[in-house]
Amino acid sequence: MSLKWYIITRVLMAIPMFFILLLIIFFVLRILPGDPIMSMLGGKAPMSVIEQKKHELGYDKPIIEQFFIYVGGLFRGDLGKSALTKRPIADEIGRKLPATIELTIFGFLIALAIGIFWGAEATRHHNESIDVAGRFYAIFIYSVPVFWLGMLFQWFFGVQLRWLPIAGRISPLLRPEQFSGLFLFDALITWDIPAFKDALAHIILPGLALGMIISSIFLRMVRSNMVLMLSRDFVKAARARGIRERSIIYRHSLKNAFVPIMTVMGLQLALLMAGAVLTETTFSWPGIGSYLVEKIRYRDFPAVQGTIAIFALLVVVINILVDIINALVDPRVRY
Amino acid sequence: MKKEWSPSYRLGKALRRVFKNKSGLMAFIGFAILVTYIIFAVFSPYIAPYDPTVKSGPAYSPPTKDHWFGTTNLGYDVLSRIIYGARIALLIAFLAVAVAAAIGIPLGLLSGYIGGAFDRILSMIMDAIYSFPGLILAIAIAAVLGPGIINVALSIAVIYAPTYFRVIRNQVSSIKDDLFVEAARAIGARDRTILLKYILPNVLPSVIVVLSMNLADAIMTEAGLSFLGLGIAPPTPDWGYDLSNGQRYLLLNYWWMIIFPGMSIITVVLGFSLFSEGANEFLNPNIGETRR
Repeated sequence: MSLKWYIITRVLMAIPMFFILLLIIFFVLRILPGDPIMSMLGGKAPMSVIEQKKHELGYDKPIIEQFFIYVGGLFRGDLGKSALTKRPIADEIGRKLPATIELTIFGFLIALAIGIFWGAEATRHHNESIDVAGRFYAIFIYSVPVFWLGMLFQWFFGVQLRWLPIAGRISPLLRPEQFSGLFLFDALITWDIPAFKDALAHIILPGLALGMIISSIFLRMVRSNMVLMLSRDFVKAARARGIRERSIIYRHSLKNAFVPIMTVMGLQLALLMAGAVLTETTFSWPGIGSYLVEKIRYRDFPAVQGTIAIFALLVVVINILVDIINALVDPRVRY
Repeated sequence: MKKEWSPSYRLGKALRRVFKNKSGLMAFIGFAILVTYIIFAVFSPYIAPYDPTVKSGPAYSPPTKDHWFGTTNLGYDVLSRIIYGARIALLIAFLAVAVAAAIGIPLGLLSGYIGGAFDRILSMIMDAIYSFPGLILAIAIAAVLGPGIINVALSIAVIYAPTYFRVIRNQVSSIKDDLFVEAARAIGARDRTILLKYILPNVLPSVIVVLSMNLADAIMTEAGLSFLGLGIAPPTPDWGYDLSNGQRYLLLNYWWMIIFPGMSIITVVLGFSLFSEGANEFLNPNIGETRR
């Protein structure tokens, strides 16, 4: 199968999955006991107000029709209007999304750096202190809630040492000109050094907290896959040719261990996003995670539904991308 | 009486076997932590020095002789809240995992056994839930259902049911054509008997490790939900809620309000993961390295 066909079938296969996810989200938010309208208006609203609100949001139509109206709107990029602010939800989310993407990428890179470097060194020094420390770190960090780690950083680096800001994304006056909405990237291409420094200072703590939590899984993944690789013949051949151990680890084993690592890392992105919701809340990071929590607090269910649909879309897109990258790296995947 | 038969000899032999390798030690440490927390949860009124929802000292007191872990903004004793908090954490985790298993295992059995379109559709739904970030789905469900022990447990159960479904379904579909199943069918056993008496006992052991790992994750998820304000209504002691409450006083340097509840979440989750990790390697030594 050519790469083009692989990509096309992969995308087609993702459509039913996305559809099912939407259906589940819709089911959860509309059909479960616990009436969104009632909880939106509070318990004592008169019947006429409830009816009017239902009509306003289209909740009085048959449920199946509502679902198809919703899905139809979604494909046109229309998520409906927020019950609270009356603004289009798609716009509100669009403004918040870059912050989440920036934080997630930053956290992912930190996790990648810790995971690959420590994992590779642990394999190289099998059963030595760096390896044992790595195993302890992985088990321990896996048990740490990301919001607690974040608070610890806030307390230590923010309150005690006063090194770094503990909330927000950037100081209000330094906001760089926007192209992508990723402040670090925008500041860099406009060469706005003060803004870059400020944005970096703001992202370090949340990014580190998020990255460290995910790094435990990466570290284990890299280590276990590379230990397997080291017993392969090509490693023996490389050793026989007198290639240095460091080169064997980083160039030979790591490269070959990368396909399984990539797959698992792609799956971890879901975990990363769940972590992002908690991290954003902890650090008042203005992304879609804290948007979701805020909307839940105000019982703005159309916005909640829209945000979760966007999360579903992100999950599906990321899964497709991971598979395509895998197919690019390893031609065997395509068959 | 022969030496080999005495209970103490046999106990010693079993213990030696457990501690022969590191995974046995890991499982034992995890088990010890869990027993401690279960004792905390069951006997909290006898262990906790104060009532966790009554002002028992000055507000914002740092750790002192009377209040080992300090007090909160309302003068509640942090140590007592941690001990009582084990109740909510463990109760919700056990409830959630029990419900998840009660949904996932029967569906997995049926799906694997029946096969065909039923299997494909059900697998697709379960895979979709599985791939979705669990916490976010739990947030949505908890937001609709509202606070309360049962509601939080249900929202967590939904996200772990697919794990059980997948494990059971894959095993059932791989053994349902085995000789012993065919033999049972040949002697005229009904489908119900085959499923419950022949297949179920063969696939159930694989669930045990998943179970213990899920308990750790469920406690994490519960803490996350209550941190976001979707857990149990205050002032019921709850670690996640206490953390979010403590964060408001972080700038005032009241570190004890966040350090101790956080440490209790970490230790209990660590207990479950050490236990499951150790038990897993101990039970199936050949999986060890490659798992996850």
